[in-house]
Amino acid sequence: MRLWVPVLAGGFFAAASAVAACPPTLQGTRVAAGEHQLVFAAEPSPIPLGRPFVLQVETCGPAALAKVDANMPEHRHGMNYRPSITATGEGRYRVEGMLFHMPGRWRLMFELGGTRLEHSLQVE
Amino acid sequence: MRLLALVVGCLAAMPGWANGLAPDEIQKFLRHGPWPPPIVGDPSNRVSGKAEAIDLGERLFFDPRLSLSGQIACATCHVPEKAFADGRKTGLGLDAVDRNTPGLFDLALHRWFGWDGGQDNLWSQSLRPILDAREMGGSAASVAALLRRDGDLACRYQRSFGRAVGGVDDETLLVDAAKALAAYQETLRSGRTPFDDFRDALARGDMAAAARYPEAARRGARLFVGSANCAFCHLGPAFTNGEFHDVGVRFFLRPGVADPGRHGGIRRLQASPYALTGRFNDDPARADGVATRHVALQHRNWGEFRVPGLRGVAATAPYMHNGSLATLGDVVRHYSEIDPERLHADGEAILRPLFLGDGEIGDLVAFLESLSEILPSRLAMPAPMPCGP
Repeated sequence: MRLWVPVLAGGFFAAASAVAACPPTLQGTRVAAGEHQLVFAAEPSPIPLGRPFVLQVETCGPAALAKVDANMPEHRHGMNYRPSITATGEGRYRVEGMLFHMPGRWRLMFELGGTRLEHSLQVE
Repeated sequence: MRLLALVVGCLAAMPGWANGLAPDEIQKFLRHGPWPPPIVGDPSNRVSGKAEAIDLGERLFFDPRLSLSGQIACATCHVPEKAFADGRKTGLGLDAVDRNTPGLFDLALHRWFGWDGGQDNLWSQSLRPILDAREMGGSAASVAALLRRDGDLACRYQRSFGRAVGGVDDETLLVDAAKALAAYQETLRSGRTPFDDFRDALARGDMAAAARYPEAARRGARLFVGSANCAFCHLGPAFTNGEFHDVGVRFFLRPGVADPGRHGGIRRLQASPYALTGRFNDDPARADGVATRHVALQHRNWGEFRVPGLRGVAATAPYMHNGSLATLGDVVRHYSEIDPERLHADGEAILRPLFLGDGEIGDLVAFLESLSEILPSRLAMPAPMPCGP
């Protein structure tokens, strides 16, 4: 099991104090768990296999995006990379260092306000 | 036999099926092309794609004076007539090394270089064997001295980099020589193969042309993208995901000494002054260093080695990081009989024994052989043209 250790960019804490718009205005995939929700969009889209991609994320409410990771539950492995999160203001984040190295079902995991939000997607 | 013919006839008649291939199979074949891909320069190397640098790099590639002994050139181990490999189990420069010498085609598509990915760019990979005491045993000072004292190389350097060698320090000259070597190696691209003709015929719906692909290779291709799951890792037009895996090949070199594979590669990468995160990257934005900045050092990296591309694989025997498997048939048998207990994968559940029959092994080998180009790449030695005004 890999460690869940995100790399946080410098602007993180300043941005975390700003309350994000609700519902998020970013066009993308909405993920929710309990009182938390976010929208993410991949760049490029669809997610390319075997090449780095970026996630744009917009959260809703006061909680800051703390961690992002992904794994393949059927294969029982994660990514070979540890993503970094850069707060870009008003609840928006740029996540770099994502790379899916195998085709199949990947599970994206976001940690927001101590809650894990998950989303599964098929990558071919 | 009549029953088989009936089954095949029924498959061909099913909606969406073509030549006995299911629509999802065809989609999987299409993902391995088109070939060749567009040519993209290396932003970290300001002489990437520059004709003068390609010329200089080609001359350096065949020049044994880059080595300490004056007898080992890059081409000593990367032999053009052997697909730029050497045919040996493990390499032999000034001394024996522990790993198999890989071929050099299609390097421009790589993200990581070397069996352990200890380099994240082709110029860094090119200077590594020059400095390795077991390979060429050179140094920044010896490479710089060669460029300064040889008038022809000095002239070509000036044409390539727009400055005279005289005012450039040793380390920068070493890196520039490596960038010229990289510019040359980027031009080594594999050509189209029988598989590409098959794949493109399927893409345009030309089933008559697709039917010309040999039957054994077609059966092997179906196994490759299907039940054998080879395409989990050998994916895309280059037949590699560019990453690293433990595939159960022994990584102990001798009692008590192991080849750490990717684990050691990441550690060397992170300590290297020649990585894309360093000052020798010519891309001011360092945008191409995103993988280097984010690669994670994990326990399971022990014993992982690069997933090689498979284009031209028939020409680069023996196989695996240590050259331990002599033929493509041996490689397929290795995966057919793999023991998951020997893997060092921290619970990863991808590889399992395939239990292939001899016919299936032959089919997979036929498919792999069909990834060799139809017409071998033209390999020309540098023309003996003097450099001057």
